[in-house]
Amino acid sequence: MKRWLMPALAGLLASACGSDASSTIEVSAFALMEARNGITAEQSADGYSVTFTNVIVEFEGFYARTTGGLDAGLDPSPVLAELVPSGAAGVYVFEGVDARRWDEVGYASVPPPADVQLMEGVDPELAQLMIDEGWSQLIVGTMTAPDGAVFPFEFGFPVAIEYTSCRSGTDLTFGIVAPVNGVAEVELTWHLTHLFFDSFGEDSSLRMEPFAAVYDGVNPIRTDDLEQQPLANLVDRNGDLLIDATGNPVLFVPPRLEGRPALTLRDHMLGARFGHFNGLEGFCTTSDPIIFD
Amino acid sequence: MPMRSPLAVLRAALFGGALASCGLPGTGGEVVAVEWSFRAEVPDGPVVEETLLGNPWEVEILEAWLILGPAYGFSPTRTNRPGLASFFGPSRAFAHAGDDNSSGVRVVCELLDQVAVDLLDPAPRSMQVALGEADAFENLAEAGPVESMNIVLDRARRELAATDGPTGGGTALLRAVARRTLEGEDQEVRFRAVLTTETITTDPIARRVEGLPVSGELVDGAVVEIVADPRAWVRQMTFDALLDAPTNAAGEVEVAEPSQLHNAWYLGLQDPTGWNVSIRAAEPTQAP
Repeated sequence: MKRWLMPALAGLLASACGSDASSTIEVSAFALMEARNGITAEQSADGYSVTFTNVIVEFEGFYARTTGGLDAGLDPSPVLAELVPSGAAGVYVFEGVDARRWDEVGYASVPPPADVQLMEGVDPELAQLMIDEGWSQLIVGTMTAPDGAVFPFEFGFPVAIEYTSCRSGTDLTFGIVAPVNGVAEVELTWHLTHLFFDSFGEDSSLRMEPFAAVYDGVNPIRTDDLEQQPLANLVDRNGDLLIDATGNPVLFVPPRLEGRPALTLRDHMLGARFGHFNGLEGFCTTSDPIIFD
Repeated sequence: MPMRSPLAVLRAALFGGALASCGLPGTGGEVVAVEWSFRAEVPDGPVVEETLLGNPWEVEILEAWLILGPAYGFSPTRTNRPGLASFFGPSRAFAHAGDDNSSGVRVVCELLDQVAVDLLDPAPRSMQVALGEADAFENLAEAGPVESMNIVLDRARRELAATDGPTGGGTALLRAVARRTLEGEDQEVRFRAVLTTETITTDPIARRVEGLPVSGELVDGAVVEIVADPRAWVRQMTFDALLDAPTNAAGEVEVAEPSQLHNAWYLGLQDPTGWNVSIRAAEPTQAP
């Protein structure tokens, strides 16, 4: 064997086992076109349209690890990001990260602490409201019925949820690649249609009528108002059993909650997960949402 | 030693591969044999004293049958597997962030056959009894802890799909009588209903009862026991719409079309308090 071959092989092996090269991870949140243009009547099963005026989300605990046990040692402080009207917000920039594939990546969205950092565009009053009420997310907007009736809503989410083992929607691999002397762009894709899905399986529909049905005519519809709608007996704006296009009672298939059944439309909405990862085809494993009643 | 032709080697390899794959759990790890058992648990009798919606009803369950299976037991969430092991380790299913709580976990035991269970009969029923000794194949599993279980509310298959079968050909059957006194008037509704995928949802993901907590560990000879309480089925039902409905020869309202009752039934089946899943070690054999 050539004398130079062994040292060369050893060098190659050593370089393959890791890298001291520096990289940057930039984390942004995107709420796509729904944040800018809302949800159109054509998208929904009952002809309602929706516009959003605020979508503020708490992010924290972003981590990058390997399944082999390495940890990038990121130290993200909790932030609040406003996703309307631009549909995008910078969340974190981590510099000096080891360049490699980090194949176990995740984050959390939980009620914000008092010292939460406000990112650009976040209304301080709404941020304080979220802190006081313990909301990890605040979605404000209006629904418009096919007959033109308008229903304002302010949905606060007293919810904690973890997104782990995220898989890229771009290349379907786990985690992210932090390139040598480059930037890994991470997109937390916040899909606002999830607010109104009647299930998260196949053939699910967007339905706003059961939300509109609890409007008192004066105050914006709030999260607790949705307790008036038992999932087993959803009613329309006339108070009649809510019927779908085939004449059958509408069934909202609830997401799983931590330790208890979902009984009302409030439970259903608060149990929804909104986060995709690097695009709509990217998914994370989600914990059962913990709802703080 | 005579040379074998490449074709013969290939045939032998394929045969060996097929043989090796038979009966294995397909998830790696130590293989153990387990037994599945099913039982009803209705403490204090099959009566719900007050339903939850509107003017409440008292409901007495007269008959409750459920098709159990398939069911899948999952290991604790994501096990770190270093380096090369990840290329050979078990695969994991991932799906929509909002629709699949089973992401990141893997199946370590599974019930692939179906059993009709009488949920007013507290006697345990083993797979061998339910299917007959000859039909019940040995259930193999992967040794270790089980964190949660999914039970699929599936279409009844084969002879269980017969309309004169225990579940009327559906996923579940319920006969009950609901009573209440409202403004001095005694009201009573007797009904019989069959839950089918057409009366709730045909979406296989939505038909899963997900994430039932499991206590115990899979070891050789362990018994995986699923206990169900049908009282959860009726708590969100209302019967006002059935008060004046026509009845059959048995004096019961037949609820066949999709209805509030079916939606409430489905949601009741999703209630984790209506289930108890455990794994217990095999009973030690008594010395003669």
